[in-house]
Parts: sequence; structure tokens; C-alpha cells
Amino acid sequence: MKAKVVLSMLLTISAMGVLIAQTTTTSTAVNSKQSQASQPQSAKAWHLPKGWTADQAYKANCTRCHAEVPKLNSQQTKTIVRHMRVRANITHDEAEAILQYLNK
Amino acid sequence: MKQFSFFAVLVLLFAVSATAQDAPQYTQPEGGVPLLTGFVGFGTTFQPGQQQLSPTISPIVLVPFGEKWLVESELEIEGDYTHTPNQPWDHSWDKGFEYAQVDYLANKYLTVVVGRFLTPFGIYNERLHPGWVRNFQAAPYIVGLEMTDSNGGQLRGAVPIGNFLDINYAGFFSASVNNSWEGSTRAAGERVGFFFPKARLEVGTSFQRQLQDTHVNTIGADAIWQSNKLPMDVRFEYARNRFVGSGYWFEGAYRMRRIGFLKPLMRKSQTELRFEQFFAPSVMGMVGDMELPDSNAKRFFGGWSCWIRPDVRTNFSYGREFIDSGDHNVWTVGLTYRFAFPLGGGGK
Repeated sequence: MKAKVVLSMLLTISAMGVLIAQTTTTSTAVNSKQSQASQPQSAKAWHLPKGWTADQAYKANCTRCHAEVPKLNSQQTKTIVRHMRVRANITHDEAEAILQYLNK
Repeated sequence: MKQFSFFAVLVLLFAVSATAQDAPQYTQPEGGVPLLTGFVGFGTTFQPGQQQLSPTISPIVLVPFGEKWLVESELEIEGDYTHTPNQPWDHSWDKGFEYAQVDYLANKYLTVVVGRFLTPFGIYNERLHPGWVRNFQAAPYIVGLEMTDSNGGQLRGAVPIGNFLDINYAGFFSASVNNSWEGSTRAAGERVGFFFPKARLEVGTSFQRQLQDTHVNTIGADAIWQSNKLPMDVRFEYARNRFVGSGYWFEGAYRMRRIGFLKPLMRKSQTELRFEQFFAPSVMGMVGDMELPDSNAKRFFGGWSCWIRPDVRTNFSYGREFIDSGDHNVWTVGLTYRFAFPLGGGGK
């Protein structure tokens, strides 16, 4: 019985989450396109701790768990960074900074 | 109750249909490309009266769709060849999906995961268990009392708070699946982590409740700290389950690139130490087939890793286990190769 309640609550929460996400991403997509057009893709555009650069985001997030990894091309790196964003719960902006650092 | 479940499913279906326009559409040129990654490893363990060889292959397939979707799956095939005196080699192969999940990156702060996934509990299971990442071949005792895989759904993400803190979270529900390739227990749980980026310190707490057979809670705490000044890191994890036991492990690693002699070797090397302890419950409860000691135990390891290439790691370790059945030494030697190949095309 309790399990059914938990399952139902999780289903509802995930449904709400997807709906909210859909709404927010639609509105933020316009804003981000505008900001991307006016701003270069630099660390300043992301929410990183003050004074941090992309390589610090890489060191603090990635090398905490594993050694440096061999270089891949930019599209392969993008896949790996997305995988690691989910696996290690990295913030969106730090993942973007890490992607830039790895593609330097 | 049934109406509530029906309503929940209905809302979920509506939400999925609302996002259908954003549904998987493969856009290779600008986005990521499918990859086959993972590792191949070979480990040997020597302890009195027993030698063990453990070949492992763990292919991971990553397939991104558009900017928001990722399908990821890891199959782990692990051999276990054991030799005891006056006996022929005994061997078995374990095969199973570590995870096979669909990730939807809903927005900056929320990812929805559905399928089979690594249970978000502590730091070892999700982040440190791959053979090419872990410092020692032997998993800590307490991994045996945590659920490692779940089938169901989870919500997770990370939220930056000002300049000094990132809060990351994961909440999951798992259904009961009785299958040797992808079994799981009905359970629900969460992990919340507090990451202080400038201090490079993360502390987290975990909770999970088993919702089948005996309903029981497992709680945990963990921490990782990486020094800003020295090339070293420290990790810690604690877990407790009233019926199964409790324990902790503590691990430190020092990258030796600043050592003044044998520089070509030292800059590729790392020394490691681990100490761990397991406390068996006063009345043994549901140990069953869990890989846990049947009495109180403690163990330490000292090891050395060397990266022959950035993707090839070799390690040696010596450890000693103190346990009621007899204290003994444990030696290990291992080699892992971490690979990443593009699937179909490969991108630019």
C-alpha cells in the first residue's frame, strides 16, 4: 500500500517536473539564444564561482574522482560530458565550462 | 488509491506527449555523437590458500539525441577463476546490465532518468566503482549492504547557490525485478550532496528504504576532499543498516608528480591507502547472498598505481584483513584499459 503511494507520488512529481521543465526550457531557450548571440561562449557567461576559470571547473569536478582522460574530438567529448553531468550530478554551467576546457 | 495512480499515469502521459515535439531526433552534426566506451580489466588476488583471477569487460554505449536526451547502457561481464590447494580451478562468469537508462535533461537543474540505473547511494557505487576509476580492486565491505542497481525512475540534478555551494540531489524509486541480468529490490531513496567548489569539498547524505519483505532503512554519509595545494584527495563513506550491519571506509591518494627522483615514473604514479571497518549486527538478519563478512572485520590496503598511458592503468596493492576466521594478507595486481570509440561517424 505504502509502496503504491510512493510510486504514485513519484509518478506525479516526475510528470510535474517534466511539465515545468518544458515550460521553463521554452522560455529560457529564447533568452539563451539572445545571450549567445550577444556574448561569446566564455566562462563569464556561466554561473561559476567567482574567479574560476574553465580549467578549475574541470579540476574540481573531474579529477576529484578519476585521472585525466585521453583527448577526444569535440563531438565525442560532448557526449562524455553529458554522461558525466548526469552520473556525477555536475551543474549545467560547470559542465559547459568543462566542455569548453576539454575542447581547447 | 487506484484513481490516484490512474491520475498520476495520466499526468505523466500528458507530460510526455507535451514534450513529444522535443522527443528524440538525432542531430549528429551539432550535438554529441554515439560512443562505445568503458574498460577492459584483468585483476589477480592472492591470499593464503587462494588465488583468484578476475577478467572484466564493461562496454558502455552512449547515444545522445538532440540537446536534451541521452540513452546510456553498461553491460558488465566479470569472470572469477579461483584456485585453492589440491583443487582444480573453479570458474564462473557474472553478466548483467549495470545500467540501461534514458536521461532527459529537462532543464539546468533537473534530469529525469528512467530505466535501470546505478542506485544513488553514497559515492562509491555511482562514481568510483568502475575498474579504471577505483583505487583498489577490492570494493569496500559496505558496498555489500547497499543496493547497487535499481529499476524504475529517478529525478536528479544540481543547483548552484551563490559562489560557494552547489547542491546536488537524486531521488529514486525502484521496482522489484527478479532476473539474474537486471534484478532489483523494491525500494525508494535519495542522496543529497553539498559541494563547496572552491574548497573542493563535497559532503553528502544518503537514505534508502527497502519496500519488500522486511521494510528496513539504510542510511549513509560520504565526503570527498581534494587539496588545492597538494596533489592529493581523501574520500570517506559510512553506511548503516540495522539488520545487515554498518561500516565505513576511508581512502587517500597522493599523485607523485612532485617527487624529485625518477621523474618520468613519478609523474605517472599515485600512492593510495585505504582503511575500512565492518560491524556485523548482533543478530545476523538478512545477509543472505550479500558479499559481507559474517563477523566484525577490518582491513587496510596500501597501493601504487601507474598510468602507462592516460588510458592504461596498472596497480599493485598489499592489504591485511583482520577477521574472526583468521587474519591474512591480500595481494593484488591489476591492469585496466579505458577505451572510447565513436559509433557510426565519429564527429569532428
